[in-house]
Amino acid sequence: MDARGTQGPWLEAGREAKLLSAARRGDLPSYFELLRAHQRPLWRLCFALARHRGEAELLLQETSRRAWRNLRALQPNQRFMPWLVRALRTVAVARQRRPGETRAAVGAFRPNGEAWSGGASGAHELGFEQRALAAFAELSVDEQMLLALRLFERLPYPDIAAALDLPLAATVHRIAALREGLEQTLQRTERAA
Amino acid sequence: MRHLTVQQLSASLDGALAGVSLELVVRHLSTCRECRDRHARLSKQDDALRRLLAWDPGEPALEDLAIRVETMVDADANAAAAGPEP
Repeated sequence: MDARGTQGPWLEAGREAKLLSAARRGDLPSYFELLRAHQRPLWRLCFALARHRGEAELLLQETSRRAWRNLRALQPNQRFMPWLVRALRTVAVARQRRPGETRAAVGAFRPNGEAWSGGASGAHELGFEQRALAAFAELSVDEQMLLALRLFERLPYPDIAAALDLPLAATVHRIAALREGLEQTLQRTERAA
Repeated sequence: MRHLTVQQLSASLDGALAGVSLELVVRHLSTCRECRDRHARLSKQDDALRRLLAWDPGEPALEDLAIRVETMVDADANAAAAGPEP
């Protein structure tokens, strides 16, 4: 999917509005249908922020609970994904601040639990991947979410801007700036390696 | 020679260019090795992050997670409806 389109990939707008209206009145099945329709993109965001399966599950659980508790604050014309993203951001930032919540940027295993291995590309590529992961881990929650929505979710720029409640031009500019920042970090860490 | 900006390269990676902007970038990349190398570096870091972080645990795991989440939210809703303990 290229970055220019404006389609919402999660639920047809009319269906989503009906479900949200019912969920805001306390209808749980409607809320669960909304959650399931958004589960995969939410999971991918949670995993990108947590880089650890168990942590990602906790983020997703807490985000879903928080989004439900505060659902009445969602305005009638607002879409659900930005609401979830906002809830996730709050949960992720709060977890980051807890004592004992820090974890090594690059663990003994890949984030998905598989062993690090050089594979056919060898040690150099393995080192690059580990440095890329470390560089991503250094970013703020907001920066990670911005990149995740573009790189992993492949959302168009307007949808990213809507999800993060940012102006479109600022969204486009920040994605480019983040790529440049990662590039510089990777070049610096390669020289140091 | 003026090189492409990171904004142009980033938009190119995202398929966000069209018309004259796209032609300009394509033409420049065809003649400028430095920009082609930079485009390749940025693309490589995107790909590395996708391999590492765009991970799906599979349908059974997500179904299990969805059920757990629904159970928790249901419990939260019941607790809220019951009100505070006397």
